[in-house]
Amino acid sequence: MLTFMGRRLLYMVPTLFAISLVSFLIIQLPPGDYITTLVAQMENDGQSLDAATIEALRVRYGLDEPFIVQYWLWISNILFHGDFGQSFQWNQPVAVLLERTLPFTILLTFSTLLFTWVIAFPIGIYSAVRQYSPGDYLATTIGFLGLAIPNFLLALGLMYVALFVFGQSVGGLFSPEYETAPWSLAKMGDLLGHLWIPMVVLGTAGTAGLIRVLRANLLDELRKPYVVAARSRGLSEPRILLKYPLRVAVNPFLSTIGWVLPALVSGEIIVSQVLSLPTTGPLLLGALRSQDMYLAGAVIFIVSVLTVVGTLLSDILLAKLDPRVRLGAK
Amino acid sequence: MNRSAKHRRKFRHGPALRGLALVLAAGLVVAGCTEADPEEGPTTSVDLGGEAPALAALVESGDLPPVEERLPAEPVVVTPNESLGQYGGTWRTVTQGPGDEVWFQRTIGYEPIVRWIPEWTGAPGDAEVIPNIAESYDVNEDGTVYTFHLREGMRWSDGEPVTTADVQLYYDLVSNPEITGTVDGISDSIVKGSTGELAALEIGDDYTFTLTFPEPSGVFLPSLAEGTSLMVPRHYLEQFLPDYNADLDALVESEGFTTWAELLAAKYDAWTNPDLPVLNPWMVTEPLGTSTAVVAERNPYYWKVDTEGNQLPYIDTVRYTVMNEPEVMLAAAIQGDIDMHVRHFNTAVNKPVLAQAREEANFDFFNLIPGLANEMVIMLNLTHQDPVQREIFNNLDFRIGLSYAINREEIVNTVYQRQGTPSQVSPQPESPFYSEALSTQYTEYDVDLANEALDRAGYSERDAQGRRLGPDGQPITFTVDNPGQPGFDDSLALISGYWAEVGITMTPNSMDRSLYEERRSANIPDAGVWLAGGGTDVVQNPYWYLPVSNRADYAQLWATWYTTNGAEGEAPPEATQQQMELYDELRATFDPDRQAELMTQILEISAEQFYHIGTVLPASGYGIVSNDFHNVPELIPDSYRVATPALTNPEQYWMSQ
Repeated sequence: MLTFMGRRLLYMVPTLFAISLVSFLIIQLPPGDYITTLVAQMENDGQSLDAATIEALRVRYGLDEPFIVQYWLWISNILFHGDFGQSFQWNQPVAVLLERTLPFTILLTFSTLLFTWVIAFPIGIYSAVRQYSPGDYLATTIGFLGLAIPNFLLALGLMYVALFVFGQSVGGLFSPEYETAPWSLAKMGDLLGHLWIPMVVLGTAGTAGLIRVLRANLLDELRKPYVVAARSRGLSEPRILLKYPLRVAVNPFLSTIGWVLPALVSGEIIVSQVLSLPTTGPLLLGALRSQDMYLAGAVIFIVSVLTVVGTLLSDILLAKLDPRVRLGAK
Repeated sequence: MNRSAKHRRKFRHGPALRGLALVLAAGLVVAGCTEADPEEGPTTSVDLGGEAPALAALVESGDLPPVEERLPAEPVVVTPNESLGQYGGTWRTVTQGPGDEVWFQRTIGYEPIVRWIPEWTGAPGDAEVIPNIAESYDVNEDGTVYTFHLREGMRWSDGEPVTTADVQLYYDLVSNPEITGTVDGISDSIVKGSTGELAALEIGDDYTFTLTFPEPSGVFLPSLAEGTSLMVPRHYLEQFLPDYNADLDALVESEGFTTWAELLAAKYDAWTNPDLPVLNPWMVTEPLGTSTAVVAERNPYYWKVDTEGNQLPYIDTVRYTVMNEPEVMLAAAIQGDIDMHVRHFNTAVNKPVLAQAREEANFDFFNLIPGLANEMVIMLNLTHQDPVQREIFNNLDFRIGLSYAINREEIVNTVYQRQGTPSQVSPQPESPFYSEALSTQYTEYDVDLANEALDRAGYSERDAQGRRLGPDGQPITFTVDNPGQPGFDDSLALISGYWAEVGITMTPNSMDRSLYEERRSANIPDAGVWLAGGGTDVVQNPYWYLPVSNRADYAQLWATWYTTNGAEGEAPPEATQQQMELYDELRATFDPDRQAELMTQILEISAEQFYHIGTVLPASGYGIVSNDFHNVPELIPDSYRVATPALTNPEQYWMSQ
């Protein structure tokens, strides 16, 4: 088990290096740089920058350096000083910006994960055990709908309902009166009152997917001889179900922990943009749009690290849970 | 020349929207003139007690000095647009967050040293400039020496006095090559004369300073009025400057920055740093980025009063909810969650939706005089790298032919929801520079005239597919770079069809704005399209009428020739050079009347040269305002130069309680 973990940890180093290099490269790939977008933005408002100022700005932000020099400056500052650099657009250290948005992102991610599991688990089991029952058909229909509807469309729809049916304020995680208030129980309650929309929006597709996977896996297992053997020995149905086939069928829940983070963060971008949530999603989108490369690079880098760590976690959990994985690793 | 006296003959171009007398009164009073003014305010007064109740309570408890001590000896007197107001209320509006700082500037951030009158039309020179932070200013005859008199007793939002020491530090900062031009708000471009030399600053006393330019400057006062205060809060910023703080390095590091310039840029930002003292009517208390709203509360030391002597602003709080998507903002507007707004979602397409909702959501429209000179201008590259293309594009008859071939009525009807008029790039009818001839030449849709002009251009030969042949015997074909503004795709698709009718092959080439920018600066495109500015700010924004800035996409190399004084680029034709000389003269002329003459000549040559092909002159724009939100004029000029709507004095807006 230790060598298994050690090897996984070692793999992480080149993976992260490759991710950092490729993500920095991709951010730089579109034509122009932050200054070009700045100029374009100002021209949309009818303003213009003179050539000397543009040149001065390029020098200030180090944009006149070749790619590899810029990359080295960026990565060496992160590695040796823990400094993620400055956001051009915000005039603030990237770390400060992430400090503000990451907690909300993590809160949203985990509440969504919880939501997904709480809904998908019982429904998945039910529709496998009662295959082709009306309940199964209902769950299947809802599941397919959830998979098929794009997240942002669902967000728009729910927002419309919240706005015109319940008269709730549009977007955000807080009502106007709590937005700037210090933390309190009432503010917490207000947060929960707003959190359900993004939670449902982000969780629906995942829930639907998990229901389908759990159902299929469980159906495979339920037909296996060991279940018949257990049943013939007089074990009660719930006990059979929970003790054996479910343990095998639950693998996909664990193996996807690693993907939950990137999937949520990337799925979250558009949803958060639509719902105006104070998470990393809109921050990343804004940074990519304006080619604010240190901010964009930092967000992608951190999400990548979290993904790799998540994958490691699910590997360990799987190995613990499933002897086949553990033994295969030897 | 003394300002107060000069105001009497000023508002020649003032639109007859409100009584001219009122305009004059406003001008006189804002100028700090002490003469007794016979004009009555528009309504009779309610006694407001001189200051907001919340501030009065603070004075009562001893936490704030009395209002007389907070106001300068000669506060600016703002004449309310319609009525005297009431204190209180929260102005609810929206912002997209970073990258959208313009909206803060345009609502609570417009306090330059001199400012525009609310009825601005874009008249040249300082005809529409009045004192603001400065109590008054004097200019010598030829416009080289500018003396400003500050207001005694005027204070920053933290209560510290405003003096010429603040001007001195501003000057030190903008002349520091390490930071000028790269820290937002610190730029020497305003105080640089046309020779590139900084104007000399001379501090008279605590309230008087003089700027002396080496040569006359005709554009200095208007460019100040666009939003430069010429001062920074010295007492606050000193701690971030190496000359004043010995322990700066430690501070830079502890704040998470690597250089002091970065720290200064972060601290000298009124929208993200609530500690920065300001002169604005409202000061940010909940900065951008910490939550999903930006909140600004009234500045207790604000230095303007209404005609009854009550300290402004009337409204307590301005609240910007951060919404990333304009569509979501639109939903909020339809719900009646926005009190007054003129940005993001006020497009022609959204107007019917808003019109439908306005009764239930209790708001109405006000109109904007558009700042654009054209919705889409097609710019053939007159300095094309390829000599054949260049020869074709520089052929005046060729451009005239293409212009006649465009069915502009159809574009107006199908692309712009019947909003707008067919036109070349031209000043708006409200502008003193409007010329019908310039606006309407070659705009009628006439295929015969088009073919005639193209034949006259020398391209009457056609190939088997009916395509006209160029001087090299090849079919004339080119692409148009399209950086994608609303309507561009549809318009270009139509125009491509019109031109095919007359034997010219044009292919639209859609691309990201950044790529467009890169290609343009490398002089690669055959042609490009963009929104033409200069609809009202004709003098300030002349590059659509002559190539004097690299924004003149239609003739990059000529513009470069001009901006580098002939060192780089290519010499333009004689007529264009003549325009450039006129423009140089304009920039060195202080007299507004002479400036107007020169600009008119420039426009005449521009009409003859017909550099680019216009399509549609935009119709008036609109903003939304709640029925409980008062004193917003019914017609406001729209331009970033005048910080729409801030030139109409947001501090005098008020809300029914």
